[in-house]
Amino acid sequence: MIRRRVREVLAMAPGYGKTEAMLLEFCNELNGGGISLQELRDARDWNHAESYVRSEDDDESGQVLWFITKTGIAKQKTL
Amino acid sequence: MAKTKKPRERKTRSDAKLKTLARVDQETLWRLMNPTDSTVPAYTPEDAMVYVQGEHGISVSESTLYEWHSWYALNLRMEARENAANQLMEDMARNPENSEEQIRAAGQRLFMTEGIIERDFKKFTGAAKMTDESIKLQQAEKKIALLKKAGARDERKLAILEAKAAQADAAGAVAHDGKLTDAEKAAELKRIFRMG
Repeated sequence: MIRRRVREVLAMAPGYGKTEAMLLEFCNELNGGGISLQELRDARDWNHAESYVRSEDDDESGQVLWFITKTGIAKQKTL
Repeated sequence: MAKTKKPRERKTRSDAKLKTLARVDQETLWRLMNPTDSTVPAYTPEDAMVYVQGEHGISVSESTLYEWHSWYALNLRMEARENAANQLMEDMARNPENSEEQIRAAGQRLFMTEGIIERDFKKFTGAAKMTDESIKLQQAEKKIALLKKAGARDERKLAILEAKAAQADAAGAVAHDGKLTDAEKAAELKRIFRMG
């Protein structure tokens, strides 16, 4: 469920990266709360390993930004 | 003789029933539940469930409806952020002095900070829950940490940091200014961040 939440959030405004904090906030919002940072990281890393999401370093903010990939979008469509 | 295995039909997830409706249908459902005209009564979840059944022939549970509602609300807010960032990038693109990288970075930065100007301040920004003092304290701590790390050798970095802190201060003041409308706040914040 959390893995899907991560993709759902990243599929919104897909051209813009989301930080880990944003992901945690938005995933919890969709889930009605209850997702810990560790759970989010596990779910995000699983999606990363499956190439459903990708990361990019944002030099300006020094943060990592997360994006959904085409594969991730395709996965979301097989609802 | 080996039995041929019948492929298992994939069951549509309950929440997907609403999320995969045409956008216009989702917008209609949203408007029924969240009318812009305050004199029009909003559909209750029960009303909405009956409507969805009658209009689209879909039977959904109350929890499915709530899940869709949260998802759609977040989508709308993301779109608002996206539109604001796109607009900023379009404006910046008119100036040939701005590089593609600068434009993209500004759009991303606005997207990340746009939460400040959204209607639901409390939900969106952790910063909104902080007092102005605590924000300033955090910024001061960040400055000190950076100074220690850099050994105060890189004055340029510090100047950038101070400029950002000034931007954050200005943005905080705008966000908390009760005299400004949301549109004015948005315009003011765009102006502030374009300075960077």
